[in-house]
Amino acid sequence: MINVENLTVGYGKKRILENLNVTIPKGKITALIGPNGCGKSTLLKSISGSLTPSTGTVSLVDQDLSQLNHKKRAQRLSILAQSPITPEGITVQQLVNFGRNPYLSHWGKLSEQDHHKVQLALQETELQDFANTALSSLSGGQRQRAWIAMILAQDTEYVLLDEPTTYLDLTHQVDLMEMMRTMNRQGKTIVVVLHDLNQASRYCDHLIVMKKGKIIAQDSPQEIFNDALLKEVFNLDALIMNDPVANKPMCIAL
Amino acid sequence: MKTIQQTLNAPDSLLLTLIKSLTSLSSAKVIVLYMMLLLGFTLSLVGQSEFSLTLNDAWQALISPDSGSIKQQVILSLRMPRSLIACLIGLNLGVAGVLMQGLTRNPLASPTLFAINSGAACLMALSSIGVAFISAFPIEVVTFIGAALGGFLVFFLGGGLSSHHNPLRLILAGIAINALLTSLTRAALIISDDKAHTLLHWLSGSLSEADWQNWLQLWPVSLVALLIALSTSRGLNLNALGEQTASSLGMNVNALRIRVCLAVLLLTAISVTIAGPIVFVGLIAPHLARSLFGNNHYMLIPASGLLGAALVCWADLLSRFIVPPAETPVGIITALIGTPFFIYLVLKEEKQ
Repeated sequence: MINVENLTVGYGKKRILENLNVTIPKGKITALIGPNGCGKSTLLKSISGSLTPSTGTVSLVDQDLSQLNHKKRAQRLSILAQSPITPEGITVQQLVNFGRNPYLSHWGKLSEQDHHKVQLALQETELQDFANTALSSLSGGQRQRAWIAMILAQDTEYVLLDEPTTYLDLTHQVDLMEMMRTMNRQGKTIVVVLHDLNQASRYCDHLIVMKKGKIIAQDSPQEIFNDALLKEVFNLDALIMNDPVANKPMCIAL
Repeated sequence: MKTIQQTLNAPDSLLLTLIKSLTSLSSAKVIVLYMMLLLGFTLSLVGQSEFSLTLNDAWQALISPDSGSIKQQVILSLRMPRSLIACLIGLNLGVAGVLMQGLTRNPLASPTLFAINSGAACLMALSSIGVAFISAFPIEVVTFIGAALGGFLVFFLGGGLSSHHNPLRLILAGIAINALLTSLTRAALIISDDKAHTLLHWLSGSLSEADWQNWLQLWPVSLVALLIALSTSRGLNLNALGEQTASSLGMNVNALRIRVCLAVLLLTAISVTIAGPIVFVGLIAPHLARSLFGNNHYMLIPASGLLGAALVCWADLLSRFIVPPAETPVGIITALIGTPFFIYLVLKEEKQ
């Protein structure tokens, strides 16, 4: 369970989130949805600790995250940035090795167990054959899988994903969502920022709807998908029906 | 070559990697690099002297020193410290450059562009003409403060932490601050009058006055700074992924910044104190190192240091041959090599 209490955060003088309170359930896939600029990514970054809030706390169960040092925090919680930088010449294996960084001693030597976790992560993302390939020469979908492999190697109970599907074609979007589901089945709590409402409904257990830095609603997809809410948050007239494959609600813009 | 790359892929123990990367003879490139350095060092012990020194003199001076021989005296008390200092200053500047590029992820970052050289030089010039409050401090402290002043001014004017988004703004800030500091230095030069010639010589970056006393000043600070520099290898590798990802992988970004700044300022300030601003070494060496050895800082930091050492050593040697018997300041040689290189890099950046 992630507990966000009285969170106020912004860039410079501009406040993006003000006195925000939210609880993210453990063991579930939670999606943050809302129009552009509503503060989804800011909330995610504040939870991950890469943005320092001006007031408020983020805690995992009862552990205040700001009390943990960087390494300890990175052993419990990982985040995949929206557009991470690909260093020149880095190979898939080198990238995935970075995932073990929070567990390394001061001298930075990978142990047997570290190597094992890296191999496991490569297997789960089906990237064993690409271990020594340069990341920059992979396709967009494979590259995103390599980043996921890094997160898997990091082996944290909480995983945050910031718009992981944005630059992918549909096949790879589905691929990524399935990987997310697998991670969840392995016991990880996942928080994901998504743009596609139907994807959010189909793959996530819990939706948090945001607008202008405020939480508008949080509930299961069945409760969230209603005419009034879609109209209010997205200014969208939509037809809501049942997705026959997933048996979850879906919407079509009118 | 393959074995060394494989060992370096996995983050290894710092000391082990250092020993491996400095001693591994499995790489042809590393051998060539050492040969270049050794050849430059040896030649600079005997090259271009009124005493027509030979390699045999140098050899004899090392194995059976004869205090009666003038040639050996020249080698041991003038040439030896000078060559050692040339190498170590080159090493310092090469390492400072690669740290700055690693931290800012900006390929144009270097002690010269960030006005770290000219900041140190400016305060040193002001101190040497006796500007009261500056002259009170020891010279190493003065250059350190000057280096920090120049560096931070350019950094903040150039867009601060987001400078990699806008390299041109950084360059403009660098030019402006460099010009300001240089004109202040000139003013000091005019006021200094009787010391003007020495000061001017030093300001162009010169090793001709280097002696053992300088060496004793130089090596302890350099050693400490180089150890700090090596300790940032893993952090800089992570930093290449961007601050957000690096931080999510458990790296303390601010701690890395502090360590890198400290190392860069110490390395540059102590070098400027001894030899004046030797420009562009911190730009050229990291780029050559990167194209030869890739982006892994465990390898890149030592490699860039060695290339910097070879570069300054050869530039110093060359500086004696241009208008003999007079010596051209070594900083002018590196500027002659560095300026076209810098323009080439800017054009390449612009294309991207």
